[in-house]
Amino acid sequence: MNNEPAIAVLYHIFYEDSYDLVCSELQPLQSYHPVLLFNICAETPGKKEMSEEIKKAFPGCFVIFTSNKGKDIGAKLAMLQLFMQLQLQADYFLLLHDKKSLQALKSATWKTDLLKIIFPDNIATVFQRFEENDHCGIVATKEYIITEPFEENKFSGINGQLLSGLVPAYGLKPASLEFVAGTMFWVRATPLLQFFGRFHPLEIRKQLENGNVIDNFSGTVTHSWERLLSWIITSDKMFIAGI
Amino acid sequence: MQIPINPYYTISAGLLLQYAGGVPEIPPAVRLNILLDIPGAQFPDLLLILGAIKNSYIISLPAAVTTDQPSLMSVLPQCFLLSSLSNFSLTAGNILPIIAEQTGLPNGENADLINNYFREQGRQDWQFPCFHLQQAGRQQAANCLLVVCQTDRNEIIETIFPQATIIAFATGIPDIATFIKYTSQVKTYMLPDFFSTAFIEKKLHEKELENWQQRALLYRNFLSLSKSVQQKEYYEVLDWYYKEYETLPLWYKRLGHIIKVIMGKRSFRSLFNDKIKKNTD
Repeated sequence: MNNEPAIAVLYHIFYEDSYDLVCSELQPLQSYHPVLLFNICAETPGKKEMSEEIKKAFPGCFVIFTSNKGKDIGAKLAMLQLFMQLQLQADYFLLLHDKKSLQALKSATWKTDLLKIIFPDNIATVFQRFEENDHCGIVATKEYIITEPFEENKFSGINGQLLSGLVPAYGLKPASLEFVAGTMFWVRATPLLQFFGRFHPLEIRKQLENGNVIDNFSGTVTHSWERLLSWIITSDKMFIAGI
Repeated sequence: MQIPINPYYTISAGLLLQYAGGVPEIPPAVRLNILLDIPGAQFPDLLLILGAIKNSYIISLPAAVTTDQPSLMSVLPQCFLLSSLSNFSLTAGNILPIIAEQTGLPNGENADLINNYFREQGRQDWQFPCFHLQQAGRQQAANCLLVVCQTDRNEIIETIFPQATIIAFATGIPDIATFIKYTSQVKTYMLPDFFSTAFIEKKLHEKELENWQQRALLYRNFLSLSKSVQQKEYYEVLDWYYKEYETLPLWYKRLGHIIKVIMGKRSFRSLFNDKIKKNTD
């Protein structure tokens, strides 16, 4: 009997120099024979060459090009739609992207911290967390599990107004307002696919902003969905575990 | 001198699906125009095949699908994904031909629905040239040429659209081997005095150049953005300091310094020294 978990990796690439990074990051996962879906931003120079290299490095993977809409969130939605259209199967999704966040003070450590979840020593721990508790829906780097501010019965963060509309519109009732900042995490496939079976990923992607939007100065639908991706799971009586 | 042009050869998606579970062996240099004449339930298999083959391709829609609004709406996500796979041809210039297989020339009805859907997904400026397969010979629309070729003879075709020349075959194609045989009977070329070879090269690299220029602008924007963001973060930290520390009563802060001494974070002597050497741990 094969107890190896079925993994699907959804990896969004925005930067033109990410190829080596992607290969080294995914190396520890190769022994799990994951389904690999890549999205390269349509505006990334050299995307054609990069996709050919990726296909050589990861035979059997799928590579799509989509425009920079909703940043990594929009890309992950497009890859989820592709995954569903391909009628592939997975127990767990791993959501990744080549985050740099050059505008942020902590950009240098941000990505490294988020990638703790695929460090070779941590992968077994990730599956252990899922297997130990059926209610564990997401495993992420604990330092990046943060709580959306909610005061006086309303969302009080910069994306608050948008969240107040989106959360009920998608029937979400998250047990806690924790979410994974940076949108790199392991997630149980079933609840995610159930949700996106009802609300098609490309229909959601339509609403996201074009270009490299940031939410440092005002809220965005894109950053609201950064939260909602976690809350899809926590609305299903599951919790986020940190490592 | 004639410059050889690699056209897109029209092939039924149904024919490709005969190889579901395997990969049809079409020479990688043959570019395809895949006519999506299959029911929605078969799109997963088509995606699997197109993800596996090396051929560059474009897709076209049967006119019957585009005239029926519900059918069209149901295949738009699949069209978007098919046109997003990495071997979808980027050089054809965002065209999605609409092809009538039986009678009459399609009028591009509901093409705006496709255009809107693609625009909502971040794709701009798509064109929908309309052709029909019963009309032998050349048809030209929206900077695109479609030639319906006879299969009982060799064809030599001159084109003025090096990026978007499509070949279709007048008779049915029973299998991939026959399709490959037909493609070898067609030679497509353009004359250098119409568009120079330099122009073709330029067109090929134009988009890539634009991407690099946009990327350079993006990095410049990151620099200016990082200044604003970091400035904002600096003032937020300063604000936090004033709210959380500076407003505390003096006796409380002094008590804090004594606690620091007890914890070994600063020396006792420094309490009486105005020039404090701060602990940087």
